[in-house]
Amino acid sequence: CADLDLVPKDAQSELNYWQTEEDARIFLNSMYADLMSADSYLLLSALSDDAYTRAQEGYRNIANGNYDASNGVVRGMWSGRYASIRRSNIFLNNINNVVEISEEKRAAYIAEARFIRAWHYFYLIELFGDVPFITDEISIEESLEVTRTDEAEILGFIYDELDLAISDLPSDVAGDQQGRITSGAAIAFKSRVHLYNGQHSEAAALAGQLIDEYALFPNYGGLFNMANENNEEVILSLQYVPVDREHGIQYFLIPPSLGGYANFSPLQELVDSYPMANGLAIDDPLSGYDESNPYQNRDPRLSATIIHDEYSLTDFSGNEVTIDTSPGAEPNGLNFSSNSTPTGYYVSKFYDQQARNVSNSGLNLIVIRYAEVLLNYAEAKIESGTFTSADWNNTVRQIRERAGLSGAAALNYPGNDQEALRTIVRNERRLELAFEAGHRFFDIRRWQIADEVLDGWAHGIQTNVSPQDDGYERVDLRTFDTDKHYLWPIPQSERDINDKLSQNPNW
Amino acid sequence: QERVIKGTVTSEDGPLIGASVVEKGTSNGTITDIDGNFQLLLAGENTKTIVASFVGFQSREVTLSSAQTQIEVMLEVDYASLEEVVVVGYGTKKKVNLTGSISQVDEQAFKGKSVTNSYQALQGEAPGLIIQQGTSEPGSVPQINIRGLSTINGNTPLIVVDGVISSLNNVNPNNIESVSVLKDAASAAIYGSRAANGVILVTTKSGEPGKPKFTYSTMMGIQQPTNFPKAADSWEYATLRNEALVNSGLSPAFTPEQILGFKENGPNTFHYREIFKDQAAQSSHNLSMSGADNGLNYFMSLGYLDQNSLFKGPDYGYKRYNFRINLSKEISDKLKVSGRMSFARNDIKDHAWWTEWLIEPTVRIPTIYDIVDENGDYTLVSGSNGNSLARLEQGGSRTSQNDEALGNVSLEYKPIDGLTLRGVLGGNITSNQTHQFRKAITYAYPGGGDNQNSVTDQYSRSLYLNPYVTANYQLELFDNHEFEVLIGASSESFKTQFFGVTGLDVPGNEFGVIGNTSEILQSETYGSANDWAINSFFGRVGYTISDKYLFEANLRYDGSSRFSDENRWGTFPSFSLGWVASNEAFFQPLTSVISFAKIRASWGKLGNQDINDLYGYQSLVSASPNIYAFGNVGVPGSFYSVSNASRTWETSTMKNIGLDLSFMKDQLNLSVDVFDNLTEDILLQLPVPDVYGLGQPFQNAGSVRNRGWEVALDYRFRSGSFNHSFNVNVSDNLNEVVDLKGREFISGGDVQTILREGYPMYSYYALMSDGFFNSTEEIDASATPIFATSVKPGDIKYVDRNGDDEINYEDDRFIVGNPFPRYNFGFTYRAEWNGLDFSLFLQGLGKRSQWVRGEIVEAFHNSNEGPVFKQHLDRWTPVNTDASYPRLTIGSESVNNAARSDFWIFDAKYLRIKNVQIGYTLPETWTGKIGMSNARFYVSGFNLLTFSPFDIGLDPEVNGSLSGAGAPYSGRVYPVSRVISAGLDINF
Repeated sequence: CADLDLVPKDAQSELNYWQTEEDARIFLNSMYADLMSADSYLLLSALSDDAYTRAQEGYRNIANGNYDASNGVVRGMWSGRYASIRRSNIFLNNINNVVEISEEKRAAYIAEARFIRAWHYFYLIELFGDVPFITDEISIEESLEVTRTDEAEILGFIYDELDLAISDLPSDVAGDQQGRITSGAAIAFKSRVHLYNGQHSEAAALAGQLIDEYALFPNYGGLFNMANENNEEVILSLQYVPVDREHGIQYFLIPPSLGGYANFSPLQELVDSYPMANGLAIDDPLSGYDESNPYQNRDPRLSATIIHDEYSLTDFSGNEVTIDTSPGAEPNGLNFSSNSTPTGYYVSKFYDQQARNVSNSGLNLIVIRYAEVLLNYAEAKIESGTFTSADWNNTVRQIRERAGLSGAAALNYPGNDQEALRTIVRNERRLELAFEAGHRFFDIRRWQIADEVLDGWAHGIQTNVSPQDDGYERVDLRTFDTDKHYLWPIPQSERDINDKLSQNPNW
Repeated sequence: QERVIKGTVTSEDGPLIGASVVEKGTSNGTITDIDGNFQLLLAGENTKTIVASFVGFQSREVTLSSAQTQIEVMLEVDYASLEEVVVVGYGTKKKVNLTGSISQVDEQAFKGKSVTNSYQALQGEAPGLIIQQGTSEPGSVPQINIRGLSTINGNTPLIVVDGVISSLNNVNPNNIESVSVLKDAASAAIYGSRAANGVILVTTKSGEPGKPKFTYSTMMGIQQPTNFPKAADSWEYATLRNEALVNSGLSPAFTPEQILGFKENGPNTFHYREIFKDQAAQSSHNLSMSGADNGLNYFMSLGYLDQNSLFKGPDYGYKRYNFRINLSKEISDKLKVSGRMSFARNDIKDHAWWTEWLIEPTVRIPTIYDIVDENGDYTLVSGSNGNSLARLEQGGSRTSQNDEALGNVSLEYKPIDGLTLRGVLGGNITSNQTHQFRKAITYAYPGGGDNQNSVTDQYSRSLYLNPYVTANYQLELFDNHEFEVLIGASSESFKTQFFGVTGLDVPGNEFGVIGNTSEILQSETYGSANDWAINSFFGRVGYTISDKYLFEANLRYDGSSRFSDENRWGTFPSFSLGWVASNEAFFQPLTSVISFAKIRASWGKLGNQDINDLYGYQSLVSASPNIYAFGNVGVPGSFYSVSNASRTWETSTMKNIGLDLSFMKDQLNLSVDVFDNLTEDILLQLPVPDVYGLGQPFQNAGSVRNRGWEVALDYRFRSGSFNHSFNVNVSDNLNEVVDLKGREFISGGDVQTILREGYPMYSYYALMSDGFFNSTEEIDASATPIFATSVKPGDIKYVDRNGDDEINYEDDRFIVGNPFPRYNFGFTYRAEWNGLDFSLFLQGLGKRSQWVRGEIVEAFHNSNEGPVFKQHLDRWTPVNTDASYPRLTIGSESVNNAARSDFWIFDAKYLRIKNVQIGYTLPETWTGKIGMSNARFYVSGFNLLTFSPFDIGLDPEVNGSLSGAGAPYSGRVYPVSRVISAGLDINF
């Protein structure tokens, strides 16, 4: 007779896991991988007025309002977060059983896990409002009957967890541990959560703790170069390494002549929001903006973010090339083919010239950086009415100087008119953080401005083929229903098997 | 002294030419001449019996009296095969005495069909045996299933070759003597836990008494692709593209001059068609030697099959080499030793990509682009950074060498009369090696993505062992009371090991071996091992009274490594009864019309444990490298597996009633079966809520009932010198979810299916379409989807199921059919006349739905530039409201029409002329002169013609998955081939 008690050769039983520090560490590593996928890091911005995705159907349909509870992106965002929450719960349930570990490491690991779980709950309540609140390893039977918990209760949990994490996390890590969550990351993140939830004094206080703890990297464009990964501005970034762990977003971004296929295309609306290098908005009569020469003398962050017509860059072989995005130009012109841009723009941010091929890049993707902390601080102070010229100099001015803007209109304190300051800081945030981790998408929602910016045609460059919309190319007709679209629907697949799960209003 | 016997062999119609007359028990024999006369010099002094035989007639033995020198032998036409012996589990049985539901397929089914594996030859040959294959890609294997879905898991039947559990993939079709398909619990229960999906018993050939017999057979054929979608011409495409853009509020893309240019000068290139050749060769050669002498029975064979691929590129294709040797030796009256050994090698040379990836862009690219430009350079167009033709022709290759050695040795000992002890050690060894060198391709156009070469090597080997012992005792008591008792024990164990490695950047793009790569890719380097085992004890009791009353009982007790200790063992009993009414005295007046009548009934339980998740009763933690990185160095991560400690056997209770009738001296035979299988504790990967946070473990979910019927009819007759035979079989079955503990489960993405009590498993669950909107007034008065911001005339209208004036998936989905093939049928007609033979084989399905998604059906799928097919020309426009396709749109305008609805579910029933053969057997008077006993030439056509309403350019079998739980289907496949061949069979 054959032996029927067989065990796998490539995995061990749960029963004898959780013995050593290594068991805990590598389990925690897989939780880091869940923080955010590279695709959603980028594509969340296609749900805003900054960009358009042609081929990512799920995202495109959310952006233009053609979606419901069965949308794949909606489900993916939900299921990914809960898979990771399960891992966090497993980790936190078992970490205290590990014997061979120092108490210092145990405390730090627990703090990292708490941060990650709080991070996922933050995204869940931002996207869905009330959601099932699960902090233990539930059974399948329990999962079939869960109900939604008030988001305020979950928010309180996030704050508590982040407080615990902040006190147990180190403020700095050794070079070979670059990428780990630090207390700075937890403070910055908690500041963001408070800001999102209108708790401005808490947001400002937390952001204030980090002022001068980090520094702006001197060169805005260089911030996103391989050579400058983990620089002094970076507080938390998704870690990628050539060959070992790579992402493929570059393929979506760069022109077809470099091998890209324009699956993520900047919109004219974003381009227009960049001021001139003198700080004046392009619709300001004094700005010097020339519609026939639209990219001249603009905020340098425009070129550091977006590839426009007549843009030069160094291709993968090291040759200087000029990108012609004019309508029909081969191969990069507007709508020349389904590889080429539908808006007249490509993306220069995240361009990794060292990538081994177009779909494999090892460039880190920054999710929290100092500039955001400064903008969080400024916004929180403005909203609470306590913003001073010193605050201006510490925040917006620093950011603009680093970006390469000059002149009084760009750099001098504009006075304490709250509405004017609000407009400035909101636009500043849009430009500075464009295409990074979906900032604009979340900002539109928390500012409740979707009816202004996400309703109607999204545009590409001016072609004057048709007189409508001043000759700007129509790209996608968007519809935003303020009665329901501020919250995503609870995924259909989830409600199909659990009838105790309620739906958001009007879905 | 010499003794010569003279005589004549005749039939009703006169003398038989070429009939064989043999001295019984020897190889001494002769054949009759043109007048049916023979003259035989007897070798043995004590010869008492002479055997006369002829193909198509019942053999006859004649006992000679001591002084007899002259005999007349009249042979009767062998219409029926009721005396035929059928292979059953761990033994054989006379067909008349069967109580279970068994279909037997003989070697005729394998003759003259241009098949590349044995499964294909079985399609349509036995009722209840369902085989589907939607691609002829070299090396591909069909889906096979018996009586539909009793279980979801491992729904392939158990395949037993010469008594040892195995597979048919590498069995040379030319070596097969017979195939028994065991369909009900009574016949399959002896295989217990392994038999819930039915059992296919394959017996390979052995020698026939007499001198060595040599056969050589060959086929040479041409394969041609049968199905491609019909792409719109480039000018039609451009016209429709403009229409779609304007319909979507966008500017047209083509000027009238451009469109005229396409019409007059092209290009007009359908890339999907361009990557395939018009034809490719296929050939096979088989050589065998067999015989039996002095208690030694031998059969040896060599086989070779060469199937070229229809893909363009450097000689892609499939080669199989088969070698077999079957030996058995009677050492004494009591002891027999046998050994059967076969070896097969598959050599597959394939492109270095994935077929689906190669095909997908070629379907999407509109016909306005060349695939190769006027300079001979590969183009890069329309959403692709590669060119599939370039990848085929210059992108390197993947070669696989798969070896399988299969064999068994057995010892049979008969210590006393009626008792047979057998010990068998069987098993197989496989070894699979794949080497892929994906070459870098330099495109003349900018933006090519295939700029990095890579080398992948993969290796796996497995060992399967199946030792078993049986004891069989047969006893006849009080005249006509026959008993049979069988007990046995069997063990199965399987181990496999595998590893793979991928390296990047071979300098120079030549000499692609792993050692030449510049860097090993950690994420593509893996290796592991798996095993499983089953122990079983079984027994059978048979009791037959006067060949009239038949009774059989089976019991099997199985333990599986796939379950925890507490849930490991299962007991599976079965009973069956038969009554041969035609053997009753009162029936005798009827026998001139109804020559045979039997009623059968069976009940039994079978278990199933064949889930691909081997260790899932335990929660496991596995580690993988490079899950994340710190300090720019990859770090490993670990993950929990899904598990369910309480999972246990699923059991099927199978009931079967059958009726066998023969008419007109057994010329016409009819067999009818009705069955009802109830599977309880079915093992399913039920959807679990995402909030659970782990994947879907196997759970014992509920009950599914599968009911169906089968009818087989054959009729043979002679008219003059014509021999005709007809064979028809039809079967149907459908499953129904009986109990899911009150829950229901919806799964799928682009194609959604539901498990709901009262409906077939994985029924399609979708919105129901109701024609097209013809006016804005109609739209205003109707419900429209909440997920579509724009609905215009020409769009698909959906049924508002709950009447709330809006369409949403939650409330408005219907069960709109299921994917299961229904009314499987096969029809064979054979005729013979003076050495000429003809056969026609039809096969098909009477009902089937196929839900197809993606670019193969949708114009401008997902906002792509293409494709547009001919069927899209009949799109809705204000002047063509009676259209078959909605108005054409791009982007968000398409959301309404692209919704998951029955609009995308197609009728895929079909009737196929599967095989036609015309052959000629040379008269033996000629062949005999050159030392041959038989020579036949033939031409045959395989997959000749298909009739189906499924006319979107895909084969109706295309979604070969019979489990119903397949992936959403996008039709990205290598087409089905038609094969026209010529063949030759020679015996000498």
